[in-house]
Amino acid sequence: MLFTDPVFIFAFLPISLVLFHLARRYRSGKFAIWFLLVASAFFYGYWSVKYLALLLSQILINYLFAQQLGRSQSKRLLWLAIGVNLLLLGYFKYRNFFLENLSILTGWQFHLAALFVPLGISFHTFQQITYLTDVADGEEDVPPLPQYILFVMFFPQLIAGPIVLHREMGRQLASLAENRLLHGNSFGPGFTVFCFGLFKKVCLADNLANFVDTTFQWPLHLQFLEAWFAAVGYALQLYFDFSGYSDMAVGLGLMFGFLLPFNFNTPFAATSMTEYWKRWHITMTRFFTMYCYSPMALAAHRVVDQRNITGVRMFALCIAAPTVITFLASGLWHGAGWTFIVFGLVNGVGLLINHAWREAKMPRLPGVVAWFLTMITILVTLVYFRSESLAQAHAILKSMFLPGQIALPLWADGIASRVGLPVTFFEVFQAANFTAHYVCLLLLFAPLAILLPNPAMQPNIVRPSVTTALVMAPMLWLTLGWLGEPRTFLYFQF
Amino acid sequence: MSELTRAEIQSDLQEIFRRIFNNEDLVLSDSTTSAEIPGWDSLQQIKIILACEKKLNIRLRARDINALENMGEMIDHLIAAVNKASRK
Repeated sequence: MLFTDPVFIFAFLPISLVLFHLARRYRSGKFAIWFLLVASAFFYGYWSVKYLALLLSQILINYLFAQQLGRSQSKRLLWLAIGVNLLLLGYFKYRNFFLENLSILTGWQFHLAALFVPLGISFHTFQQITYLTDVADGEEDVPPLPQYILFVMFFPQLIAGPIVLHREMGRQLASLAENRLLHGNSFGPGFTVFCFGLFKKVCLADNLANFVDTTFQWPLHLQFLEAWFAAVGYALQLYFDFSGYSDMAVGLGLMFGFLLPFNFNTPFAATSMTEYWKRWHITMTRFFTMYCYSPMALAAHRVVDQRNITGVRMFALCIAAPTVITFLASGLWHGAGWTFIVFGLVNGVGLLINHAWREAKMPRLPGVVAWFLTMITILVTLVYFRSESLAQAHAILKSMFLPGQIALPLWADGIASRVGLPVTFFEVFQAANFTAHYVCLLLLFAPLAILLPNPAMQPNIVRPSVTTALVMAPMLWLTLGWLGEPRTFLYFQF
Repeated sequence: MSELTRAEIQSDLQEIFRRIFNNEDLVLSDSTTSAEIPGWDSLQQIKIILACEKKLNIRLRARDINALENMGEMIDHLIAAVNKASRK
């Protein structure tokens, strides 16, 4: 069930909200937890009952691991638990990719059945790995089973995050068990943030989707302008799609009295790659920083310190290796394909240049130049992210950076003669109205991506007021008008 | 080591931060967060951890520092680490 599906908005959500609050009022907090569990199971099972059973089995196995880890804090058991989770993820998500590449390397033939990746498996697997690690470190206790299941399955964050740490949800769930909601008076702000996210998804992201899909269908035929519009269009679509989803998740959490972490902080305003990754998919960056990059980088720094290694070798060991490995892992986490690995690699190299510049104490670049270079790098990474193959990505990048000629479409010959550019046949921009529509959307949405705040960052400052009503009413009116056939969220594939 | 006061740790931290962020005017308070210090990223954080380890003769875990909300929590964490090290 999608958050944008009318069945979700007009049936599942209001019914589950009313029943949840009735359960708390007339029964108990523990009963409300069971109710939320059933609602979350229905939400996931609505998509696939078979994979609901898989999800529940994974949760139960992890709960057993957590109990043992809580008692023994054994590192060996922790590695076993992490291994089981990664094996499960590998089997369902990376099996075909691994076999395809093994086949290329060895010449062996494998029968590859179509993969059907369980929804949200990357998100809830990582969420559970963080929990198991924290239990093994003695940082987190093992809660009662229903609270643990709800920590993983709470439907607002089940499919595509935010990736919640147990320390963020554990206290809220324990409090609910005693029939107290720590964020109980947040329905208004939650509803507002949810509507804001819905607007971003339905009115902004989905409006760009058709244009972006069309441009990416013609990678070998894109002219210079088409290729740049494809890249910028996709960056905006992905941002509004995923930040819209994340706002909806935070908003839904608040409507039920839970505060979830936010995922976006206007990333396209970043003036460096480091800053960009502090603003984009924040909970995933946090996961990779805490559980992958920092332990590796700290260990490398200690070795370098003990052995007095300096200069380029120090940079390679302490900065380059942890950064590139972390971003390769992050790329692979997004999807089983070389495009995602290169996406991670380009991001890693971008960050390395960023670090090297600072370590060499080079002068700070003017803000506009730094922003421009950051955005160019981001667009390159996202071309890989969106493309179905490296060949497709390279064809688009070639049109962007090494065009044979810079021309205008035939229908713009008047403008072309005035600005002194040649005209040629454009596959995608062959119709003036299609192009004008696309250009208008980009000109309108690009400033919005930079200027619109992410309300999920501080939802509790949203208060009922005339201003809030005047902003929200037209947004809701537009959103409901466009609701129609829901388009899936781009991050659901991960 | 166990007699180090909160003020002394805060002063040590301030010196470390000024050196790492190359900013002699930097003033830390309990409520200071990473977002308020320009240039604070995961790499600078590793340098902060190593500098604290050397200065206070303790061993820290990167993840514990990642999870702290502000400087006050960091000072509390360092005091606990110093006390733990002095008991060994």
